[in-house]
Amino acid sequence: MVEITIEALTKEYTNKLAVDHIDMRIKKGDFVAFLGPNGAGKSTTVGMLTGLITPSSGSIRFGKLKPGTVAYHNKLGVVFQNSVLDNQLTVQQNLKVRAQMYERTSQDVLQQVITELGLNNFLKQKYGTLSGGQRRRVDIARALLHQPEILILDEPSTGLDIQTRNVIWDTLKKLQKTMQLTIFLTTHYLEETENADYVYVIDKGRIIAADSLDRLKQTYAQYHLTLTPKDLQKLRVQLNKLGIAPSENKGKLQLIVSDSAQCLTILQRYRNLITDFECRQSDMNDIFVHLTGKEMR
Amino acid sequence: MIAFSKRNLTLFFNSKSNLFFSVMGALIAFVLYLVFLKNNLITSFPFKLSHDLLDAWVISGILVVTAVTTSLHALSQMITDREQGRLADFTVTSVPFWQLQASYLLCSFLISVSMQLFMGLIMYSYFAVTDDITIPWELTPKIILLSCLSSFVWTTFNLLILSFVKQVKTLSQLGSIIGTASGFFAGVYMPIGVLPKTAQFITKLTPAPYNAALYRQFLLKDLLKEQLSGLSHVQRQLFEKQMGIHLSLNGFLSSSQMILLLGAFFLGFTLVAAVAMKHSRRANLGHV
Repeated sequence: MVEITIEALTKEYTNKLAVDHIDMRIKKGDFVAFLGPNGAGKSTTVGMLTGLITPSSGSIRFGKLKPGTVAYHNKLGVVFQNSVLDNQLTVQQNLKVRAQMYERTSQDVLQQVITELGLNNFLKQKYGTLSGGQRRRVDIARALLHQPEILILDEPSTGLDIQTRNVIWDTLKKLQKTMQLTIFLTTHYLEETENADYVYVIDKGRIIAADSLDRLKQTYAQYHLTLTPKDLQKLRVQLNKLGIAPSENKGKLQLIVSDSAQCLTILQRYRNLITDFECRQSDMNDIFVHLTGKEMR
Repeated sequence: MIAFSKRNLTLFFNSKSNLFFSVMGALIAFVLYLVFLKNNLITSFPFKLSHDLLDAWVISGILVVTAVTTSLHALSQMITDREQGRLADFTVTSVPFWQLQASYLLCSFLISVSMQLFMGLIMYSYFAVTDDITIPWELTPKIILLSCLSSFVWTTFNLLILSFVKQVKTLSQLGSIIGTASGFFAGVYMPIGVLPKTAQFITKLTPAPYNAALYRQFLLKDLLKEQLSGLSHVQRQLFEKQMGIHLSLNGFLSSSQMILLLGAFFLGFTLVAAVAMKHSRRANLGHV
């Protein structure tokens, strides 16, 4: 079941086409990752999805609802890139104020969210005194106060340490299941897309890839083979004869092959020239570079 | 909207620095009066001026400064929220955008009224101790009404000014300029009659002298009757004009005319601010 339909969405600024006729279909309960290098149009798209930026043309539909309306806001939870709660107020005060600003909320939901996100230990602490990880947990709790159906997260784990990121991602996965949430996130950390049901890659305002992670991997699958040679020159000459031009790094030869069969062929044919090897399949990082020609980080 | 307004009021009143800096202009004027302005005034008139008359006179002007600076400070929360992305966060709630904006104005109004009353009480209490003056409790309803009118006018004035401000760092500089200017325009640092004609004309283009004159008329009414009874009508008129108690604009303005004038300023500021804000406000939220 399609929950959000985005058609020919475009945002044009005076001198720049930030988002150029993008189409997306987000299914209910899906975890959708939205990837793109800096300046690709991610934040503008998120701005339009949240109703904070008016599109130049195109449409966003969530059932019969349109962005910018109160009914749409009631179904939408947003975790902004920066922490946006009041530093001078306590966690509890912040959550209470935000909760009271929604039509559909209750004390029970507030308590449930506080427990789910593990905020009980610092409820009375001022938001401004919390650590980065604690703040993000409060931010996520704030976005869930009104039991939204869609949760939009704009690079939520930027600047956090790996442990905190893992805690946040475990929590999100749990919430996706327990609250039947549709999650739409932009992220700089490509490994985080490994959790996604569907991935959109945007570059220069256009969607350049849209598929499930498995199918993206199949489509762009390549194997990275690293060989430790007995005789580097000899192995290089042999590989060149096959039409392969390996790169050299610290006495090892690195080559990219299209499938595992080719990997095995090379290993068998030159086993006498090799002391060790390493073979890994492309990850999202490689796919991203392949698609955009740019490193994410 | 109630929750959002409560939040705005809590942020203002919970912060000691907010409270202090919002009335700093008024405090500076108060200290200057105590240090030398009072003596200057006493020596500059050929007849004896009592402490209670001058004290009530300076309180009137300082209340106007308070109305200006506190409403500016309170309304600045709108700019801070916008720049720091909080307004975007509030916009995605069930509260319509116009209610958020209305709440900023309402809070600015409430803060300005309460701070005027607070400052009035503090200053009267101080002079009651040092100069043995009587606090005119009977004027409380009038003072409350006038503080409401002042807050209406200055809240919309500051809304207009802030519609041109995009960055938080501009706010403190703007606060200093407006705080100082309001002291001059309300005729606190020096009576309006001392100013050159051109300066008087410029001053009268703002609501400050009318606002201060209204306060003075309310607070000094009985004191003037008691203490200037020995003066001729012309002498008294000259004194009142010199001290900004009465203002002339093609003849002396009555209290009701000044109230109407302030009402006109209120409408004018509201209209211009609405036009200035129409295009920029919501459009910029997504860039935060």
